[in-house]
Amino acid sequence: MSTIELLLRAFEYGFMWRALIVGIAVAISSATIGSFLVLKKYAMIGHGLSHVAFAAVAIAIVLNQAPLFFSLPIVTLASIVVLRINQNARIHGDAAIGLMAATAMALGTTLVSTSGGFNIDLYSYLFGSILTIRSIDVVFATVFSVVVIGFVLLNFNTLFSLTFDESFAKISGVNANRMNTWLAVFTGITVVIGIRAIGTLLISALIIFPAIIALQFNRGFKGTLILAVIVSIFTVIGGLLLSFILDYPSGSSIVLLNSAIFFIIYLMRTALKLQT
Amino acid sequence: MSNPTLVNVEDISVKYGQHLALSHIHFDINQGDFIALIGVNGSGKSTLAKSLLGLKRIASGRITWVNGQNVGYLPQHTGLDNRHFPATVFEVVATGLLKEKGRTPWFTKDDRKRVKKMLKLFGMQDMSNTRIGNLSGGQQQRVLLARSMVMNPDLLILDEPTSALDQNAREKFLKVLKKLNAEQNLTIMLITHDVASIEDYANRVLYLDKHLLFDGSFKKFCETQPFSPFIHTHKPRYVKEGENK
Repeated sequence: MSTIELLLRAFEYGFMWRALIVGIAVAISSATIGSFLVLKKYAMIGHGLSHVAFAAVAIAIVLNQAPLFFSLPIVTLASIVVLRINQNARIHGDAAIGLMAATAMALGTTLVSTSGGFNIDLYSYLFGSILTIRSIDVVFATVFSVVVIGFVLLNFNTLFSLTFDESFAKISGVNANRMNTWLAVFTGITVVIGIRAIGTLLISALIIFPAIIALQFNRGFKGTLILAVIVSIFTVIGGLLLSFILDYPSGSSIVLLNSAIFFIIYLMRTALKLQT
Repeated sequence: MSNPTLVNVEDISVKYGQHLALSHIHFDINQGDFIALIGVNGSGKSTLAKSLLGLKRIASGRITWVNGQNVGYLPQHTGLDNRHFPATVFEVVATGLLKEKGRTPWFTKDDRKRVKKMLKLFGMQDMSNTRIGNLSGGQQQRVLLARSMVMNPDLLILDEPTSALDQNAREKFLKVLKKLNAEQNLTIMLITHDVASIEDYANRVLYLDKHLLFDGSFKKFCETQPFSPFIHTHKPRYVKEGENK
């Protein structure tokens, strides 16, 4: 069967459509939230949270609970705590995130080993699996991504001002604490809705890569944000299809596609700079 | 008749934990003042500015805004610390409208007109879509100034705005401030290290070292504070050779 035939066949399966809807929902949320996090130098929060999500999923499996619903409050709470630590000048934010990620990972692996080791179910949560996405995941991801996008659209100017210059935003009447807390809450939600398609360990890449790729294009803020969303959707769809054709974990395919695009653009920019 | 008072600062003290950053500061700011707020590193200049702006809580004393607080601010650190921050000149200046507009998701046609008018006033109408990181240091400071001016502030506080500029850009920027002060009666408080450079601009000096050590004209400052570390290290033109020894 040729690659084109295989690609066309992908759309005959219900699970592929579910994966695409969840993937696009996650792509939009992670790119918008990620752009603010990267520019506020909070990108590592996503990385720390992905490890917390792993521990939360492990606990849920051990306790026989629904992993995503169980993870949602834990990851969101962790996101708020990490943000507070990051803002506290007395503690090094990056070190605190490193400690939290390692502790969560250790907790997750210990729980997993006591309950019979890594099985296929947990493996799919780690690296994403399009086969495991259910209709309830589609509803969950779509609703939350609409909420995240609504939040960003309604507060776009406020979020921009806060990201560019927090002091000025504050004197303009912006409640910086409240907005930062909301940003942390939506980061937590984005990490959780990305678990099925991308996996707990790789979701942070989808928060960081599209923003970093979009930043290579010398655009304004709105332009960069839109470009990040386009890149994110493109790489998620491309990655999911690659995953279907090559039978790789979906999260890995999406992240590798992002990495490839970033390095190609980065090399092209460097070559152009050297020419001029 | 003296100019109306904008703000009364009454006996304020500010602490960072147990550390006293400002002690019993007392002064008024009158409309039309061009104040140079000077002092060595750690003397509390930025803390005083932040207290006036409401960004830092005061431990005791009172700050009273006679006609409400309407302050523009050029902070020391912004997104411009990241040279690749993706913001156009227009996007940055438009954030000056936020205080008036509240949590608006988008700006109206009139808002855009106001921003463009301000850009024109600062001679930057052709740079509206330029990324701010691609501008020179002097141009970037003018954009931040336009952002504050679009608010129609009663008082403009600038925290060492010229420290990263070369001599030429510094003078240009200070001339723009002087023009705003003279023509629009804009009240200015300029935090600076560089006493010599503001000699021709500021009409009032506040000299701070946790306490307010001096409040008066530049000329009087040089006469009464000849042994301050400031005059010694920054020797303005006003202090003649031999006079400061």
